[in-house]
Amino acid sequence: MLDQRCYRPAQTVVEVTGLGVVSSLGHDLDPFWDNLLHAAATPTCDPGLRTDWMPLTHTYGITEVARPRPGLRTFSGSAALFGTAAARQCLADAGLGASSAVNWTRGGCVLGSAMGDDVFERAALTGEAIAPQDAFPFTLAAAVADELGLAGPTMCVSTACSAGLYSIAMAADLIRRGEANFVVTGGSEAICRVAMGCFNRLQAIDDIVCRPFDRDRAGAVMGEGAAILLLESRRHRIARGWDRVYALVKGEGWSCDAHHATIPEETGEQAVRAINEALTRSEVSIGEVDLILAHGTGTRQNDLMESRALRRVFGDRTDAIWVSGNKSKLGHTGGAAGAFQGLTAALALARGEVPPTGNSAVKDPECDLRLALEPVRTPLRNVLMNSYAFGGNNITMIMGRA
Amino acid sequence: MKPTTLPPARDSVVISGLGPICRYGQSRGALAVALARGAGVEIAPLGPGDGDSWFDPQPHLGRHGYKYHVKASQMLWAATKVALADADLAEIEDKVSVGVCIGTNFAVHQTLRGFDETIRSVGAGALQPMFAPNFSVNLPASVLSLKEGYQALNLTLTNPLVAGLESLIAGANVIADGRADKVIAGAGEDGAPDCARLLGGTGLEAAACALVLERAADAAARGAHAYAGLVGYLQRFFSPSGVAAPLAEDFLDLIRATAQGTSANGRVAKPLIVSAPSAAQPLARLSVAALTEAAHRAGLAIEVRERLPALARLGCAAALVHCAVLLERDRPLVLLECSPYGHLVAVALKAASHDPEIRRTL
Repeated sequence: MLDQRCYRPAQTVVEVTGLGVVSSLGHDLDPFWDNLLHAAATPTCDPGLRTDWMPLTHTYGITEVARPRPGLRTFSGSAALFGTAAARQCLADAGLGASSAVNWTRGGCVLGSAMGDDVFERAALTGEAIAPQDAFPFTLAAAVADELGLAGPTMCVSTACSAGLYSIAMAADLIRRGEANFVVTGGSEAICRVAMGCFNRLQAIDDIVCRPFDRDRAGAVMGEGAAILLLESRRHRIARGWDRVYALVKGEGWSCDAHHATIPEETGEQAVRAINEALTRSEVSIGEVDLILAHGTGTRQNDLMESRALRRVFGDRTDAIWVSGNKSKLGHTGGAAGAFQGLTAALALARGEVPPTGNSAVKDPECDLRLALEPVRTPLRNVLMNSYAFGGNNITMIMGRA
Repeated sequence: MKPTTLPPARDSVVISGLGPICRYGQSRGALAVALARGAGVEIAPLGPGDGDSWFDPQPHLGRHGYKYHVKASQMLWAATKVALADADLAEIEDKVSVGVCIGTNFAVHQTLRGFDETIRSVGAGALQPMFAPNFSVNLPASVLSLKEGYQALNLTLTNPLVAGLESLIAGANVIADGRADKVIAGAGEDGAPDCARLLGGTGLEAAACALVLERAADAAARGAHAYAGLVGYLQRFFSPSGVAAPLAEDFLDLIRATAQGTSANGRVAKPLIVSAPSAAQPLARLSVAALTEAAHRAGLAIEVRERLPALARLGCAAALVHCAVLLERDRPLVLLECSPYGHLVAVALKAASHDPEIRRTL
């Protein structure tokens, strides 16, 4: 459904002008990208989860040694720590700082997190007292806005595993509606003991590695980190004299399966609707999409449904479009997963490189996609991203070359 | 930053159904009667298990279908049923065009802590598979789509205390942007007695509130009553460690948006400003002062009122539950909510009979 009574093509061009990352692949853009393209990332057992509590404890985690300690004034949860570190990096990457002559009340902050912060979990183990400001689990957006001095609209989106991409979409909408000139957006997630326990109980974890679209895939493997993007109106970017643009945020389609709490609807009808709406809103034809960053969790049902949905929309053109699933390298970062897709899309468009889908040794014949198994160097016009979540929450976004 | 005024060209979005569920009433009418009789003025400290023992899902939801959902999900679903009935929308045929926008802070808070205790004491194998998906805070919103078949979109917002009002703003915008024709906007909370300090020492009670949003023209076409139209909103963040920027000018446009137009009897309606309790929220105190100053300078008459103490402990559902009662009074309304972290959200509603555009379509 795209209601023609109200929908009009957006007049405001939304650009990606800054990026920041904290991840198991690295805490800066260059090492992150290099590892995403070339490293054979494998999960390791998280000692904090303990095998006497749950059978599978391997994650794509950020080790304590590498964990950033940015010295926040008021917030101390892991998601807030990851998010603020990546956000500071992102703002610096976009040439914005506290002394920049921009109107900070026109600066928004929209961030996604599925589980929020882990203060209660840590306190349960260590017995440490919880500070009053930490009593609330979803302080991510407040922490980042506080740290960066953003004074415009601030939102925390928690649509489970699609929260990161929904956040970027809602940030773009703030700019399109003229409510903000620039928005710090993306997502942050920390390994969560309860989520790991529930995924174990639901038998949704692959006991070896995340291998999207592989014949023998057996589930997701959790990851953690933060991916942050600065979205900015073209007018604002030009007015402040900044040249570099990674990508354009062109349009998004939203939908909901309304089918099952944890299992995607197998025909992918609503996923198809989200893809088609994203294409329409972006004014991009199927012949202009060169790369698909798949949700690709490595669960049997998701990868099958997503493959069918893509084939239904793109038909024979599917054979010509590269498909990549970055969860094979990063793990499933929950509410940050869509943000990692956004960051990956922006870098892929800017650098003309397709990151490979790792660990896919034997392609599932039912997942008939053109998987990139090695890095591919090619100019890209548009990148389409799918993000799906518990509750059947779907979103598709298209970013284009600047 | 100026507040956002929803432009008439994008069609007015109205509230056509209200469904509050809280200790003091489980419909708009029942809640209004209870509050008029003085309920909620005196509040007793909450004990363990006190937060939701008054709620029985069966009268709202029947005997089956909610056993494996957390209390906040049950309440939100019940609130949605109440709101749909209130909107005379017992059955919506085109469910693919209905969206869900829900705010929550603590819907699964107690569930998560219970799960964690089970994992640490017995192991993850002791979790019930049917109940395990409830670890995700978006399940309460998702339940509305799962049970009612709504497919346009399903959003969960979690900013502290302001997420309920944010859901209203998000709902209006997705309709204006053509992503949905109707939206169930609302908020749902589970009790969280351990988060008392966040709410000024009162503890958090379970509650939910659902609102039916749709275009004024659509409500008119099916002959439905519209309570109010959304005419503007303001979303700001004030660093707790920083200095608050002047707010007066920001508020002025919001008040003006609600003050324009006249009531059915031709008199200018005086906007009612309802804020979070200023004793618990310093930012609310600052905001009300700025707003009052702005109105005074502009020569606009307003009435400012703080939320009832008992409603204040309904978390991010508080503003919407209160709204469900106040909209009966047929006057312009500005709902103001703040958080101790620095969030400020204000939503301006104009009673349908005061808005020339809404009145015309109705």
